[in-house]
Amino acid sequence: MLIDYLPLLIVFLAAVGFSVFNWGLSHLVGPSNPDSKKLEVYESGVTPDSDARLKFSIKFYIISMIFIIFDIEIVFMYPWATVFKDFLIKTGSHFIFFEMATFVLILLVGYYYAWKKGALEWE
Amino acid sequence: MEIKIPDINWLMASPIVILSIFGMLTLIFGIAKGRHTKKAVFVALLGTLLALVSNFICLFEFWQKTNSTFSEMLTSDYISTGFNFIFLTVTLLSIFVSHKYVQDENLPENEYYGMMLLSAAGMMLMASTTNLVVVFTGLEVMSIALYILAGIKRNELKSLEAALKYFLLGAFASGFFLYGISMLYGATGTLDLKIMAEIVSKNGTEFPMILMVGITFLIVGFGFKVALAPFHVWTPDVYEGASSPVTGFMSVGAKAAGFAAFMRVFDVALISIKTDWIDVLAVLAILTMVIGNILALQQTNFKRLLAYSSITHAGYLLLGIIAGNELSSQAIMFYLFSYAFMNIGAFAIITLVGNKNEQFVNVTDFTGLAKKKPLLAFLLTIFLFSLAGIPPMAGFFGKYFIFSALIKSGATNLAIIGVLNAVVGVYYYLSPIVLVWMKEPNEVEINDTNPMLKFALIISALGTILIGIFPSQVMSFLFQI
Repeated sequence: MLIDYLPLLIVFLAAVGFSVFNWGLSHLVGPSNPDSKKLEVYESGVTPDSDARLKFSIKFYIISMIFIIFDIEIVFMYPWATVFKDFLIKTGSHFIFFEMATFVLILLVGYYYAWKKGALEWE
Repeated sequence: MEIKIPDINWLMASPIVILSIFGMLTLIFGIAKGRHTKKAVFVALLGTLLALVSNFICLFEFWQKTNSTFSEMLTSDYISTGFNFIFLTVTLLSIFVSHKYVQDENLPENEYYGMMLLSAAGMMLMASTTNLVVVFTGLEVMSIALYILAGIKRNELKSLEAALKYFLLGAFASGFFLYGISMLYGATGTLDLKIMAEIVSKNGTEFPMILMVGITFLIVGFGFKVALAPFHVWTPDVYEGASSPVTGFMSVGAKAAGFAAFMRVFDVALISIKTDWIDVLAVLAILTMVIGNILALQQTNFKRLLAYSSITHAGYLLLGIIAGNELSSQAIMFYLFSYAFMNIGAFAIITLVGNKNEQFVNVTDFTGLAKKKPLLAFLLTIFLFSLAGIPPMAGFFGKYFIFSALIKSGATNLAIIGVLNAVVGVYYYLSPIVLVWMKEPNEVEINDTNPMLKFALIISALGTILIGIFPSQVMSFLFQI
């Protein structure tokens, strides 16, 4: 029943109330004299000298995309490899081999496409 | 551990397999030589035609009985073959419509048609399975290809905006959908919709709360994909930003695929607890029809007008899901089959008049079309009449079957609301026709020399009229009732 969750609600309200109370209290009674040093992102760190957002070359994104494709391939291949021998012995069929061959063939089409589109060239 | 080799029936899988193989072939066709190849369209056409033939064979081989293969992962029944026809018709017509556009804009042919074929393969996968995980896989194959198609004009800001919006909201909706699937699995312990139907009906109303939450999530996921209000907000922007042929393709194809899966989940697996979800869907249907109609009334851009009209059509189709009887599944398929012809026909005319860069896609750009190109104006009138549901066009019988299925299931008041909405819809379909026929022509030039586009227009017009004249014959032939 929903009433069983009442303690959870109380804890939740207490947590929210505690933080709101403390935050409000420090806002009300705390002194506030900001200067440029205090308003920096890292008050006691190195002085920032440029924007945090940098432009990366699009090549990095392409490489990481290709990486993900082959990463997924390995994720799929690993469990396949662990049952491969078992499957061959128990069923006497090469079905499992052709399954993976189809999968790799489809990936190869994508690889060929990426290659010919020039995704693998760094220049 | 027992290991079983899945039984494989290649014939049953052949439409999907052929389309996927040809999709990949199109994608890499001619890529070794140069960036822009002009012959990829023929590879795509060949693949679609072969898939169509194999679907015909499937139809005659498997009708009347339900067959499944690949360890129950793939199903062939009258729903899957019927929907495959719809998808292949849509793909074929879209390829013909796209030809002019792809040439005008100098788009990479191999990528454009390759993505179209792969997307269609995903749609077919969605319709020909009773396993929820395969439904999800098909949904993703379809959607990811559609995101790329929406942004295929990557130098244009509008196209990019459409692609990004579609991608973000679509990915979000897919998340909802997957979460819903996992909750349904948690509640029933199975992913197969037929087994789920048995379990749900056996438990009666004694099902866990999580099933209801799962159903809600699924409704949200499907709602995004088929553009039901209030999940429709992306539709006009994406339809406007994407290229006209792509918009025609995804408005019919994605909608049909979404409704195929929608139908299987709600009218097969969850039909025994219909009383629990029917009210939610009824509210959504009314909201969708009303919002689509009211917002369509004030559109000046033809593509946005058709986007809102497609939202309204989703509302009518949802009425079919609500009916949930024998008649309704055929009514939904018939509706979508006729919608494919009339909607792609309408988008073909927009592609034609819009010309390069889609400069002329406002409703006012069509002013006086009848004086310049009477035949084109006549075809546009046919398509818009059919969309409005005026007899004897195909659209009328689509609505007629949906409403009669609804009345047979007892929801007469919903049918009345649907008919009233159809009457409101007539206004905004007729206002462009008034501009086309009764006003003096403007100086928009029309270049209708592309033979493929002409062919697509003729086929769509013939389909719209012939389905309207012989509705029962089309029904009995395609769906083997």
